[in-house]
Amino acid sequence: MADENILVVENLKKYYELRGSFLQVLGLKSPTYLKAVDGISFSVAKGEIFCLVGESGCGKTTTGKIIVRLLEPTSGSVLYKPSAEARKVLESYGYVEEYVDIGKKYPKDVDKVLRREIQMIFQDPYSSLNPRMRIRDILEEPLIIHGIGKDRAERLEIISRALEEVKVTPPQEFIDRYPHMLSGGQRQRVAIARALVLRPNLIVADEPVSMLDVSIRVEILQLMLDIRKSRNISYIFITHDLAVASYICDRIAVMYLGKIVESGEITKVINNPVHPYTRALIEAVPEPNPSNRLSLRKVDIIGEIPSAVNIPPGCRFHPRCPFAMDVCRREEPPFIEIEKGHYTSCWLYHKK
Amino acid sequence: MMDRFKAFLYAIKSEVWSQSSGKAALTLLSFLIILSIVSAIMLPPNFVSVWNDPKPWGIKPKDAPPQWAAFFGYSCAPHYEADLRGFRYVLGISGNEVSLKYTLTYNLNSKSFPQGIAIKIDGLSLVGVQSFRIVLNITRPDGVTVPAVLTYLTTATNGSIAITSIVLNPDTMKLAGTLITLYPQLLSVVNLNDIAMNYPTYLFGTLTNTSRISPLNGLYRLELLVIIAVPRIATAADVNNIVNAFRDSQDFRVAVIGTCYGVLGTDYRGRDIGLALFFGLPIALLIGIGTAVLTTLIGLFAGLVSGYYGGAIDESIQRFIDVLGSIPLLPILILIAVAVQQAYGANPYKPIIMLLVILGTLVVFGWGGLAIVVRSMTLSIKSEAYIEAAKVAGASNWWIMVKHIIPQLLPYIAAQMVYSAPSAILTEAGLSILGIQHGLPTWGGILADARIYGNVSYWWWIFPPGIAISVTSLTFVLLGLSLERAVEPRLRRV
Repeated sequence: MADENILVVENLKKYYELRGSFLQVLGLKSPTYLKAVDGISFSVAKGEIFCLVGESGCGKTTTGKIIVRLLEPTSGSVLYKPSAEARKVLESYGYVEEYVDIGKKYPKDVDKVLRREIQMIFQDPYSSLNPRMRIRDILEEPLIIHGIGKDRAERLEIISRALEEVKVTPPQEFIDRYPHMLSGGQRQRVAIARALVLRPNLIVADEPVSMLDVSIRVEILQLMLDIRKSRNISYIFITHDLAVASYICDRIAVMYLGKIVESGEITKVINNPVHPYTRALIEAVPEPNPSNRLSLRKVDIIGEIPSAVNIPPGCRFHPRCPFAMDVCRREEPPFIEIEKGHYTSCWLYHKK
Repeated sequence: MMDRFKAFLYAIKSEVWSQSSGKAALTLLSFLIILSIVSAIMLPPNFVSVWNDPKPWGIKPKDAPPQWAAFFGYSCAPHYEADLRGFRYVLGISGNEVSLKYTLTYNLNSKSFPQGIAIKIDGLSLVGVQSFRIVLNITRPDGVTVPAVLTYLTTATNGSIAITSIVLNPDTMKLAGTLITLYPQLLSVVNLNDIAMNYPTYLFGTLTNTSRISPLNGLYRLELLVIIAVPRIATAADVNNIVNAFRDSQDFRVAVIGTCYGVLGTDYRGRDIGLALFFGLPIALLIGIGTAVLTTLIGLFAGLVSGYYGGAIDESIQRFIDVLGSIPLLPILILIAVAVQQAYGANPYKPIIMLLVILGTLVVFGWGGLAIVVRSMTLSIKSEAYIEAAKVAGASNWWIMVKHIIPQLLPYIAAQMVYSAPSAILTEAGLSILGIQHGLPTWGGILADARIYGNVSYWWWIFPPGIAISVTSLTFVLLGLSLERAVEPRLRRV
């Protein structure tokens, strides 16, 4: 499956400069940094659903925003393989390599082409749709920006097809409504349709179901799976919910404080979690079966996630880890393969 | 887009109309706008210079209440004006003199005396004549004729006479002497100087038993002789020439100046306050709306850029606003106005330049508050997820500002704009009263004149401009209130 990577992220970092003290404001003292993303690497294959999981504040949303180019990385590369269509435009501007680093800045036309290829679905469908615009205006906006469809009627046709694809039917009934006239699930479908009208190759879905009722989550997830099947789109699926992740993902990466602590194929990671943090996360998934409720108590990591400004030395998980050893406090563990397609960074599995 | 805009306007209009304050505001506004359009069409191009020139107003009553004040107990001596260019005359030729004799009647029926007698001549040019003489005799109702009440004589230079804008008044000492000869008994009550100082009282009055002077009511016959001497025995051609010259003059009229005048009375120079109010309306609306629109546009743009781009741009705009805000506006305005007064004192366009400079200063100092509010609104809108969504879709900054941010600011902006319109009108009036006079017949200017030259009892000079300013301000405030309710759903009545 990993034969054709559409996205390769290498050693990606995003630091925010904090100028808190007076000396720092004056530039007399070096600024402190908030290390939102601190050197992560992963790749996404064509048609794959890659999950980023972790607690809030671990940098997964920042990673997603860098990939859709809302944020610029501090360092590292985000290599993206453009579609054949985009290739032509890129080549006319002299970008001939197979992969382009989308962390960099590009001329306006190139930028537009690249933006079109990578779209995003936002967490909150209540705020990601402009409440003052009708559904048709919301969906028409990207089409107008990218000059798709030669007139209004043609754009309307594209919009109707997109709405049908996300099963907001019949489209005629919905295009003149305002977002507040739709249910949460319908809104998220419209948000997905907005991402789809540009025919992207990669969609970053930032917790697309966490704001939805549990009852309609599966419908939305199923819709995303259907779209993947019909269009061969890749997803980067950001979530904090391992249950959702195990439903939809092909591969998963667990992030902690800006770093990936464990990654691999979903079945291997869920069935055989090796990193203490992953294990704790899996333990923390609520069980619908009441007889299992006592097993929830087994989560044995302690305390809160530390601030990304003061990252603990050594293994950044060690203050909360029940198995912390001396080496954990001193040195950062390397990222090692413990079985085929299953990696972790933990001293427990490091064979000396 | 156009259709939606129209629909939006229609929705706003019906929402405003559904409130009683909105109804009042829209009615008043349309009334003001129609009136100001009529006024702007009728406004003579040289109105400002005519207004500031004392001569055209010399034959009008001074400090006179409006004519309808008679209904409320004011005793009004009627004002009588006759345009002699179209008047019947008796032609007389004797030797080298051509005479035109006009006979007019003035009916005095009042408890007060007229203010005087005057003749106004403008743009008269006589060619091939020697001299030009005017004699006005008045026959009173008691049958006595007062000869030579007003005389005027001018001789030709190089055979021609050109008269531009003069107002003739009686020679009061001479007239007093004439009156004493006719009515010697007057000397038992007053002396010659008193008569000269106050000639209308004695010309139009009579001594009663109680040794008081009261108006002599009845018909007065005014006999005006215009005598023109030509260098030879007058021929038909000369007569023709002279008659044509009078017909083609700009103005030639005689007036018995009454004590009530016009719709809204007159000021200390005899200027018609009603006229100034009428022609002041478009100026007031222009001041209010012009300043409001400019202030709002600058505030919107600055606030939008400041909030959207942030960083150094934001910082510099905000600090600039802080500086502007800490400069006291009033002393600056006075300073600038005085400077302009000095620099353009002789320029015929000085009033307009000065008004524009004052408005410009108001605009320059007026946009800060709005920019701060717009910035904070922009900041909160900017962080909405749908702005990020638009960016992901490839929207440019310009697109986001125009399509996502401005539409949300617009209702607030519109209400603010309407609210700020009266403040400019009020500031202009306030400055005029403080003595920053630009000389345009604005409402504030009239009020300022009333303060300097007026008297508390001259209500016709104080109340109408005051009421006009209040009504105009009220219109905008009511409109602002109902607009605010229309665009802000939380204030909407259930």
